[in-house]
Amino acid sequence: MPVITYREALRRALAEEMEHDPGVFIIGEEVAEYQGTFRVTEGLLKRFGPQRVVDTPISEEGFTALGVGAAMAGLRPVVEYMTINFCLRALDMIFNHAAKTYYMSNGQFPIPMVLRAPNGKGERLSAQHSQSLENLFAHMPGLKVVLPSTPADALGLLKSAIRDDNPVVFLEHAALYNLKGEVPEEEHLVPLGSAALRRRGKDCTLISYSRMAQVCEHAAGALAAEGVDAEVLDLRSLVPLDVEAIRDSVHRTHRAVVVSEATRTGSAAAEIATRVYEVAFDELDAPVEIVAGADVPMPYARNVERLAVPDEAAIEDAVRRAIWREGAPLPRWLKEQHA
Amino acid sequence: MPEISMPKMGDAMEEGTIVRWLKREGDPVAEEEPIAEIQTEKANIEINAYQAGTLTKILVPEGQTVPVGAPIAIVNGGAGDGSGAAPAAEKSLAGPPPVEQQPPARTPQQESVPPARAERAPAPQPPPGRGPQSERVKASPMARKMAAQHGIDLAQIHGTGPGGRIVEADVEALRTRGAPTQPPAGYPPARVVSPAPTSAPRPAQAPAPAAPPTGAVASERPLSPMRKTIASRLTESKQTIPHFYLTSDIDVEPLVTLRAQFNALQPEERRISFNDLVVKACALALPAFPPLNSQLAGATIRTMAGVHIGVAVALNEGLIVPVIRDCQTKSLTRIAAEIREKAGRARQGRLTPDEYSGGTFTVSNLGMYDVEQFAAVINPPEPAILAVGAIRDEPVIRDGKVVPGQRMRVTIAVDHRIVDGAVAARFLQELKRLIQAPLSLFE
Repeated sequence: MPVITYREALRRALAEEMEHDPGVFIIGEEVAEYQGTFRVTEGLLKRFGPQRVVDTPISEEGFTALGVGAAMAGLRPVVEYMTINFCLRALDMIFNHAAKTYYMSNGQFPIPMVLRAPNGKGERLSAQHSQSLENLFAHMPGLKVVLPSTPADALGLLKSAIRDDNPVVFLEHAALYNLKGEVPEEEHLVPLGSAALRRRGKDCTLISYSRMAQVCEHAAGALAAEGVDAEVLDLRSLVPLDVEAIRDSVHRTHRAVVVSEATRTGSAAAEIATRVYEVAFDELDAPVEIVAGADVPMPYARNVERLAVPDEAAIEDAVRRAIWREGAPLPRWLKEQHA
Repeated sequence: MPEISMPKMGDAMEEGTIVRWLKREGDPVAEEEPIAEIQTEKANIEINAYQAGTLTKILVPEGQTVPVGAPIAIVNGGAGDGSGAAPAAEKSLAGPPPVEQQPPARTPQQESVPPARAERAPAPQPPPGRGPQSERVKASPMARKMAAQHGIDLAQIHGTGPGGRIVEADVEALRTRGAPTQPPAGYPPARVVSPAPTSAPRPAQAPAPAAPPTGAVASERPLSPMRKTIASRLTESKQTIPHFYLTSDIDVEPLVTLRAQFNALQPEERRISFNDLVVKACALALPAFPPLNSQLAGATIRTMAGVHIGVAVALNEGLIVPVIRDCQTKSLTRIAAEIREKAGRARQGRLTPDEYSGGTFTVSNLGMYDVEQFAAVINPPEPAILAVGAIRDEPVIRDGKVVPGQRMRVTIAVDHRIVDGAVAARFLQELKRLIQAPLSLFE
């Protein structure tokens, strides 16, 4: 299988779907002439022309509304935001129009639309440009929320998102664009709402998505050196949520740690933890742990920024807490759990 | 963040229970100032802050038991430590009122205790309304499910998860043999039992699964830490030490007379008991019998330098043996005063570990309960224990005539591994001689 980057996988998905369906077009700031802020749309203007790769002014609400209208009219717009932070100007269009029109029109107007953007922390981009906003979208009925963590998933999920007849918020992670991985040569579609088991283990399930799924895999590798066998479940989408996969995994491991880069309060991570209790209560051997971003605006200073986002060590400690038995060293914060 | 952890107050101590917090979160503490009272297997002890600072976090609530070494509190040095602890004033809105601020009248069940003592009295159970968590068995849902499937009583299981929670592996271990369970590979073995260097391997700590009750059960409660220690040490003693018993019937008529004369001249607090006299007699007799002042340490017999006599004191719940050190050098009145003082504190649960450990011989007296004679269980690693019965008026034969007499029976239980019958018999003879010629005891 060829090895390509996450960025190249996204580009391939866009190109394949534009070939596959003439109704697919791309619209956003700097997507055409500049070839994408993160170079995802590189070469597409040349290949598909300005009718289908459309640059816009700085007007998120406007071009989102244009996307909603195009979708109502039967096209399949792929709306790109430079980063997810900029879509906040368009939330009325996303929440009240993209998410609700199908329902409020009694099914007359499906909105087959993809809203793409890099989501999550960059490097010292400070509070307004480092947000993980998936929780907002997962909260809003009518939207699907997809977050790939590998090149193969970036390809397969974006293609499925474009073919889906619902508005899909497709959240890429800026820190993953250069991640390389094997991608099938043939057509590759990953159904929305199916989690991927990244690593089998028997002691504890790490439930995560997006970049944190990668970090979880690294943490699981480090824990393996201690003899701790962690399972890693990459959800790939928050809506739909693959509760079956969560249930199956926790029934095997009896412990769960939910890991997310986004801030914790009111988060999908908290919702996932609740689902674990619902579907696996009698299987649990320890309280479900949540490792999430600190409930603070993202700090600018590098040292504090690091503390605001979960890292491998935090994940490893959560697993150690979940499996802790008398006689083992006390992991960080276990004592607070005692109290 | 300097942590205060559960201290190890003696070789046998593996866990301790927080009886009460004397400070609350946010309180300033001085170096060496007591911050909490803990209950070990034997006594209640105050824990002091290692350094001056602020008690920023209480990690273990009252009534909870944690292993030795587990962090129980965090004391941050100096002001403005920035640890994230909310200011004390803020916390007091949410937290329960501190012990010190409770008016004494709030604990009606302790009315008989003077208010000044109320704070210090042992409190094995947290006061009502302060800690709902103590009675409930903590077990994970998985552990509960497994226990239910296999008909295992969770109360029989020692939890090895955080905060003593019973986890699946604990149930599994009990189900498949009662073996102590192991944490995942790479971690140190769970609960390393440190046997006293002198004693034989200890029996497994895990209690046998309780047989299902055969009749109506009135109540159930977990073993107290002291009960656990008594159970394990005396089981060990009876299972590993070959006891033999010798009884001697002693004429105590002169002793009764002499004690009455002596006490008549003393103020109340300096009067001596028969038990004090027996201890003194032992102290005088023992130095001549090194085997009875020895301990078995593996393949070695260790003869101890001093005669440290333990005196069994009955408590409401269990018993404790305060030790009077170097009795061979102490006068009768000194021994009597020490026993009185230590027994008093023992009943309040306020002995320190070094006051109830390190004995070389024990005297146990049930005479006040009108027990004629009994055989006691040796308190390891000591080689023997003397059981003292009541003083009885009974007919004795003197010069061929039956006359009224006063007699007392003592029974010594001896570890035959170290002490042979003849040695113990000669000791008993010497003890009898000393008690029957009691003036020598009043030195």
